[in-house]
Amino acid sequence: MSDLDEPDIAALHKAVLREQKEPIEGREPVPIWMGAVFVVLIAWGGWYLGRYDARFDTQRADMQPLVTEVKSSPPSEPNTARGDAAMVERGAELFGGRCAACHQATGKGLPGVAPPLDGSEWVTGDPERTTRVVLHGLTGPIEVAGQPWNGAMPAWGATMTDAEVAAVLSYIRTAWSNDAGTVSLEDVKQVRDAHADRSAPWTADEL
Amino acid sequence: MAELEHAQLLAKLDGSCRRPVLLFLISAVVWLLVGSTLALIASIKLHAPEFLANDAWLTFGRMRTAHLNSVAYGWAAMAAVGVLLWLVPRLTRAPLRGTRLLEGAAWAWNGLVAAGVVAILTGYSTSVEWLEFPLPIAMGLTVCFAVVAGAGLDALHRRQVDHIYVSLWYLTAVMVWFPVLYLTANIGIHGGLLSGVAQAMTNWWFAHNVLGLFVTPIALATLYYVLPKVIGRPIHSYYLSLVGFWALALFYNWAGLHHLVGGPVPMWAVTVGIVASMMMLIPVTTVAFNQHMTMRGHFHLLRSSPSLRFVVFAGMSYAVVSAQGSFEALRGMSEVVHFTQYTVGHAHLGMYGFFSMMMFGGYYFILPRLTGREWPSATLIRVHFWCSAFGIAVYFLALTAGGVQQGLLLLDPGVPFLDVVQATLPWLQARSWAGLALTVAHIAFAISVAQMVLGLAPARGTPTLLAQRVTSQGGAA
Repeated sequence: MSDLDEPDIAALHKAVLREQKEPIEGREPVPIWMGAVFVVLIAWGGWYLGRYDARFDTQRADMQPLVTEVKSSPPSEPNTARGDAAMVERGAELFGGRCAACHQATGKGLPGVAPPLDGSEWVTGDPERTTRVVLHGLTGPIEVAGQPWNGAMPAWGATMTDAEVAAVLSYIRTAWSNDAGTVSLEDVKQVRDAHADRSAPWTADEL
Repeated sequence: MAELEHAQLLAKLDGSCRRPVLLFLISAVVWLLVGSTLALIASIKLHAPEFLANDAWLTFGRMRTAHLNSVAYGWAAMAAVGVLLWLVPRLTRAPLRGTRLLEGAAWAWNGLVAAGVVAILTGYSTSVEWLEFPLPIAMGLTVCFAVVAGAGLDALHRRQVDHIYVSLWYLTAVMVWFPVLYLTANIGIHGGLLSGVAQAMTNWWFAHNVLGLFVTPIALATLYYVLPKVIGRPIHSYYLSLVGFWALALFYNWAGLHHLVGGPVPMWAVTVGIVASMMMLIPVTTVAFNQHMTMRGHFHLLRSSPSLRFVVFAGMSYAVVSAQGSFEALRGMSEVVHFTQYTVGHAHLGMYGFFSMMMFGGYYFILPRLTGREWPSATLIRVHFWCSAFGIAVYFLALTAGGVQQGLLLLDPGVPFLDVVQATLPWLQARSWAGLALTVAHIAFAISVAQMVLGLAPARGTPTLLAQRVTSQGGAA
């Protein structure tokens, strides 16, 4: 750094001597078109803010698609004529939080991941069988609505109460085009007690 | 003669800040080389995962983080501070004081960044993006920056000018904004004051403001100074500068939350971030229009002046990257490109195509005045410019195209994840080649700078130009 210690004033002058004047600003006005563009932009900003402010609800997360779809969209309206309306509604909420990520809010399933529930004979058939699947899970090859599947469904028995399982079952059996009956708390309790020592998931053959 | 007196005044002002500015600028170049090496290693790992995979400190998580922090706090911040400390005396006409302290700050800064990078490589990263340095190191950097801000504000207080030129607005703002930002974010996040959602929101408030309220104002101050200085005419419009500055000050601070689009944070907060991001089109339009109208009729000077070439490239990148960023914030865009390589391309167009290129332009203007030497070789400057310009262009285009493709594939539930990974490979390879070009540019630049400061460059007194001037007027390099 020895060269930096003593500024060579003469050399500095050479570089600064050829410099242009220190910069100043002209006084041209802002063009009218630009002002107009800014006004439009700010108007859009106001509209967008009002459209997506979620009423400043701190509990409402950004872009909550699953929950809103289940709660509001018509295809998931359950056929509640023959069911317990409150239980089915609770089931719809649980479905949105725990099942829809794989089986989708539409109940159509996700190719390569999870089979459809809408129109599935496994859902609308014997409720005892469906209850066992939800409680203990399901693994291995299975045919659903004429299509082969091979995946794994987790067990929910440990994390959901009998009432919650009953609600979800009631929802999926009456939602979309399904029109089977609801499932009661007692039905689920009976199945759970009957298979209390079961820990492995079911296979299609066992069912 | 008034002109001679004026030149003597400028020489005196340059002399007052000479040592700390050179220290900061030279250190920044060293960090640029370190950061480039780390970047190349990280980039290659993304398409050749077995490369240097056997040691913990060489793994991607540490290489990428060390790269970010060495270029952000080593290269970018030190170059920005160097340019700031040179511009402030010139704009206030007040010689810089406290230069011993500033030199100490520069050495301490180097030590702290080195300690921080070593901490990251040995596994002591805080893992909060842009704030990975452990808290004690961050506190040390805050003190260093406070020293810089103190010296700058002291010169501002002793200013010998009646009118404060637009560059000085930006520099003054930075000296107030950045210490507050850095201290608040570090204490809030690492000091245990914030947790959960508030922590994430503060993190992105800070990380985005590093770009908008630290590097952007310093780069724009450089643009507003060097542009009229080289072409010898006033900035087109004071009023456009005014709108540009205040719109940045008003809107930028809110924009960072667009990083959390779709995340578990309140919808209204993200909405505010998106609106503020779109409002950034206002300052960007004014700056771009001001630059274009000032340059009009002087574009031929790009052929000869190295400073102008880098600065104008940077100014154009600013317009592109900012407009892109505004629309990228929209929910519909984010749905596709968020969490893809697209974001990485955007970030580099900002930090490199805009900020780093602007700093290079600043170096080419400043160093001859501080060293009394001329740039040693027009060829080295050409290599620097074309490798940088070509490198960042390929980098940006590859990751932008690759990112859109990646985003669309990720949205398609029928495409297995591994196929998406496969599809990004050619784009990531292109990025490594682009990174290599950028590294070549930096080596050429470092050789030039080394010759300047070691006294090996000529002191002939005529500028090193990239081409013969068509006009007779001398102008400044």
